[in-house]
Amino acid sequence: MGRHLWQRIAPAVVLAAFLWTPVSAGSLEEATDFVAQKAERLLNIMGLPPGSERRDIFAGWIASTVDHDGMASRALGRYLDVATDAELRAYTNAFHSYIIITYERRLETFSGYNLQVERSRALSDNDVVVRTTISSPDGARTIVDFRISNNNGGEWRLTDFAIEGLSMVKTLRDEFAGVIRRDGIEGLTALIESNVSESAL
Amino acid sequence: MLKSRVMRVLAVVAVALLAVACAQVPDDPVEHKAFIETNDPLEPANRTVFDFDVAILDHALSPVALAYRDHVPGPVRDGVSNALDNLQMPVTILNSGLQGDFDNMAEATASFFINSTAGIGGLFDIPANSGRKPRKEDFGQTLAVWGVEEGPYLVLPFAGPSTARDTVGLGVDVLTDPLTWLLTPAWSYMRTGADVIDSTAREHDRIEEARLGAIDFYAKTRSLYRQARARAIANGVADPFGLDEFFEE
Repeated sequence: MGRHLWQRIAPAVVLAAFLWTPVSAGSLEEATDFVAQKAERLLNIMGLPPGSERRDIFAGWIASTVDHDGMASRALGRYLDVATDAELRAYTNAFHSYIIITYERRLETFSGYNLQVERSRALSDNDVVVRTTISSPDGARTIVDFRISNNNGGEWRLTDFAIEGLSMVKTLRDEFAGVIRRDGIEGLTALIESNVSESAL
Repeated sequence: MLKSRVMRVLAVVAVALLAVACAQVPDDPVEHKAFIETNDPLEPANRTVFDFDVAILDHALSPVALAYRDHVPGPVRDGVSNALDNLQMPVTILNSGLQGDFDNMAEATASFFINSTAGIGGLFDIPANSGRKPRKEDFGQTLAVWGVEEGPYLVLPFAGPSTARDTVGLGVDVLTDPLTWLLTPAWSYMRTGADVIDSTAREHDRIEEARLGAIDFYAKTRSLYRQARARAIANGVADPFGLDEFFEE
């Protein structure tokens, strides 16, 4: 039986070996620099006084750093396949505002922290994970992993991050799934919009 | 008191198993997969208990914990946290051994004896000052290492998020904790009370951060609990993105 299994998976293993291209040192370095620069910039933004000016700067940082459309799609999980185009458009717009409003407030706690890149690893030329440590002024350390992708040679963009092993996209996907099951994608969009309106007050 | 605590845990497990057996599984293929993945057949009952726990947290525990945090000096609070952690160390020692993690077992044993003596009953965490702090282990993690499935998600009254496996683990932890047998009921209640206030004071900001902007706080808590437990079971090297080897230290 073990031999049969090998025979079945061997072609896939050979194919994967051909398709998988080891990342060049240049790409890995480029990706690591991207994370270091963007994270450093983020920590500086979070040091600014709260208000509409900081929010605009943060929105600009999101636009130049985050693959928010891709993130929005992955946060839908298996429901992405059943969403209509109109539902997806409305949901993605709401998701974009949600990320800006919510994460500007949540990341505020990292104001005054220092970031250090620990190491990086590439899944492919287009997909890299960078592990960083963020240290608070009193010396407490938090591990933050950034997953970034350059979408087949385009610009690098953040696709997910995990604070102490807790993935943002996975948490959102789990959180959204229950709402979609109960109220559909339209219901989720309405809930996100109402959450954004309340938080923006 | 011990009997009543164990009976409470057993009652929760029995009710959970009964309700799981009666849970309706959706027919729609997408819904069916989502139902299996979420593994929360008791969701309506869990949500009720969750609301109850949040109300207790907001109206009873948090005010006391914040007053404690605001009025008791940091070094004193650190001493209390250290002493409570030290009291938990026998459970870590036992479970590290049961998992075959003898390095952590040795480290936890050394930590327990050093802190209980030179650390004045655990008020000072001496090994931690030199960067040596054993990982906390419990019987829920041991069951996971032994290959026992997580089982359905549960929310326990007063104790918060759990799973069937962790609930059984919690019962065994109570039974195998030497202090369960050594302390009088009054001391046992004091220890539990101090533990709850100390952990609420430490975790308050993190809980509020998770609540901030939550679309569904219940589902978010469920996800964060599962991810955190997966990380604890993997001894801190769990892989949030599917890159196992990258996260090996």
